[in-house]
Amino acid sequence: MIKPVYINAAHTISPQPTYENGFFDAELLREPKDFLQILAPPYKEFIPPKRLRRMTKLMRLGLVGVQKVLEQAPLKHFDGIIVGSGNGNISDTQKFLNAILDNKEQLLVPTSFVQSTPNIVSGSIALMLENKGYNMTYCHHNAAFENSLLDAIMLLQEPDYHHILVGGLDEITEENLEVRSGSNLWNREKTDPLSIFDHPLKGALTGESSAFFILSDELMESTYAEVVDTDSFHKNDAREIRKSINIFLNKNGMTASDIDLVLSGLNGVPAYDNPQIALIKELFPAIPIGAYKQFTGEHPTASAFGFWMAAQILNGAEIPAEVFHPESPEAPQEIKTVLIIQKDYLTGSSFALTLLRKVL
Amino acid sequence: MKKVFVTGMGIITALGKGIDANLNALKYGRSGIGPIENLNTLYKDEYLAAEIKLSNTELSAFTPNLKDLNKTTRGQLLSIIAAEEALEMAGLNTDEIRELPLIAGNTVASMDETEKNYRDYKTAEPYYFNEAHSGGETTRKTAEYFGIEAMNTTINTACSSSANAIIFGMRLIQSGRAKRVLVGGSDPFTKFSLNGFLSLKIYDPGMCRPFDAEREGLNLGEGAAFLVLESEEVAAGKTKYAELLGYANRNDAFHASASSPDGEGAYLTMKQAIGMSGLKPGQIDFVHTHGTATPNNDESELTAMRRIFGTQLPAFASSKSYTGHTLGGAGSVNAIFSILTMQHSFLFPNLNFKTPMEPGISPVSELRENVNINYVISNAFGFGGNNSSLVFGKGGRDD
Repeated sequence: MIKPVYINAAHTISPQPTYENGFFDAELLREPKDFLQILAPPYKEFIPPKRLRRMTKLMRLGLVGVQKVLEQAPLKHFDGIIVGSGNGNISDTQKFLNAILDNKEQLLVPTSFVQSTPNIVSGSIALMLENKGYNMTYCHHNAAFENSLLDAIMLLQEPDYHHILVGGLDEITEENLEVRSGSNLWNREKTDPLSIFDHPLKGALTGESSAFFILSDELMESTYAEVVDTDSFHKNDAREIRKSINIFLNKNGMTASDIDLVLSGLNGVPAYDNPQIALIKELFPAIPIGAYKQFTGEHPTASAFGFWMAAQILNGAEIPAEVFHPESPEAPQEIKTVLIIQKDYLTGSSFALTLLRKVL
Repeated sequence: MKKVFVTGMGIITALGKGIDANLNALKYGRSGIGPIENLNTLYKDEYLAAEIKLSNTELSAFTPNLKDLNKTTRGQLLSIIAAEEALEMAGLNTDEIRELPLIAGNTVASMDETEKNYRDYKTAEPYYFNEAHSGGETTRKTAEYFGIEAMNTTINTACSSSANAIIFGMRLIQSGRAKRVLVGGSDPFTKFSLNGFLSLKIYDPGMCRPFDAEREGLNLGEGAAFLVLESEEVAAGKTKYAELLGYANRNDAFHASASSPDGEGAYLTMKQAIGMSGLKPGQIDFVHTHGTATPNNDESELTAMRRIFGTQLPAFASSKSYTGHTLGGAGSVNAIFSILTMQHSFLFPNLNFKTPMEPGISPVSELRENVNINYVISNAFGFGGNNSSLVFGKGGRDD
């Protein structure tokens, strides 16, 4: 018997005003940008200034994220800290790399080297909470967040694990976007993020976000929703992809007709979006299609933001119109199950699925 | 709990390509550490490293099915080579491989190409700055080479990455989510990591000297090591090289790049892993240490060992004086060497050891043959306080 896993806290910091935790209570930002950056939270309220100065963006986001979820579900202890980040610590990696190249391998300061590995986020959270428990970091493309979820779900099946902190975050820098510009993958025109589905984009509008959650094996007053399962696979053939999605649903005692909403990582680039829309329409006819990268920009852990959206929706929040893709059918009155489909933008063959359910 | 066995192993390090080459080097006490020849660095003539003395083109002779060498990085080549040996040894067929989850650990991943091309990004192959930027691409490329369609994932917990890959693989089997898995890790030798450890002033100017009182730091290496783990049901009738009996992953929660002086993280992880295996500390025949030869690591790890085993320490050694520190590959390289000691009933000498850190505390310092090694604990510790331990039992042993 699989023990249910509940989302007991959910918080995101994104390029949209989500920090105060309303589901788009504040007015959404439409200012055209060539890449989307998070709206910086008041770091100083959470991190002592002396430490803050040395800390890179991902570490800061991690330390704020954990304190924000603890405000929602005040726990004394986590039995595990798991973080997913597809691109890792870009700022410190490029800082150390530039120092090597500029200074011809001399007079280097180690701080940015030490902080360049993505596990510095889960490590600094452990340090802050003095948590000597399970500690893990996944960095696998589009599935970095889903792999973290899977790990947490598996831990919570074991008797000694009750509350796990799970996060997904990625950053983008101007310099990183510049060194990636040899490809046609990225859009550099100033674009209204909320209009990316209105006209075909030649490249994706990139961005960043951070989302943290508490997953537990028990219901709490703050429970948002239940995470049923997550899985990932690598396939190219449309028929095989459909088959894998069906197998995943069946394994969890469901069929395609049990799904009320599909959230997908569509990003406005037709070569990437069109096969996914066709797949969703074929598998889930008449079911509404929502998306999340219009809020965060394209990046590997954008689905952590999608997961935050799903938690809000299943907790009864009204769904803002901006969530739906223009080709989406009408939404039903009540959403009880959500499937998140997160396909890798860069490699195209990697899929991650997450199934969530309303707590009745 | 389901029993989990090792049915395949594959490795490439500075000691050579393949299990046999690595085994022989361990038996003859031959180190892979020497002058830097391949890496174009200012420190070429000043420091030593354990390089694999083959260029990417030369390595690609071992990956005949690779279609795009110009879009393949060194870590990817090393991973494919090591994984192929493990898959062959386990005797898996195409269908079994397609459904085989692949879990890999790495840290610098494809940094070798990034650092070479960074200032020429406008003309360089964009693959290196896009797809290959994520460590996940090393894993995905390896999976693609063998036609693996199942879940693949990548762990980056710095130098304990591939030990954590082994742990996650075992958990997938024990949870019933997989019958068998391919697990391991890799990293190339890069200017990025060399300069990083030099800036931390923990790079020995000569050969690294694990557990020696005069030790000054590590030498870097490069390599890949993969294992096939199978559940009891599907491993039936196969050669079982070892049984994975226990594991633990804990955080030291002390410092971003240093271990606590009381070795708390190492102590907790070794204690938990031994506890899970159902063994008593006294039953451990060999501790294959993380043993990087930095003053801090060896002090902390030894303190943790004293706390677990008391005054009667089991035989212990570090293999970093052979392979250098292979970073993301270190956990799985260590795991394979641990299994080889049991399978071939020997203990390899911890090279370059002269002066004990404390009176009477010495690692294995000469080859011991015909010794019955039933249980080994294999350690991997990383920056960020990430500590992991694995306990293996000898394949085909009588309990």
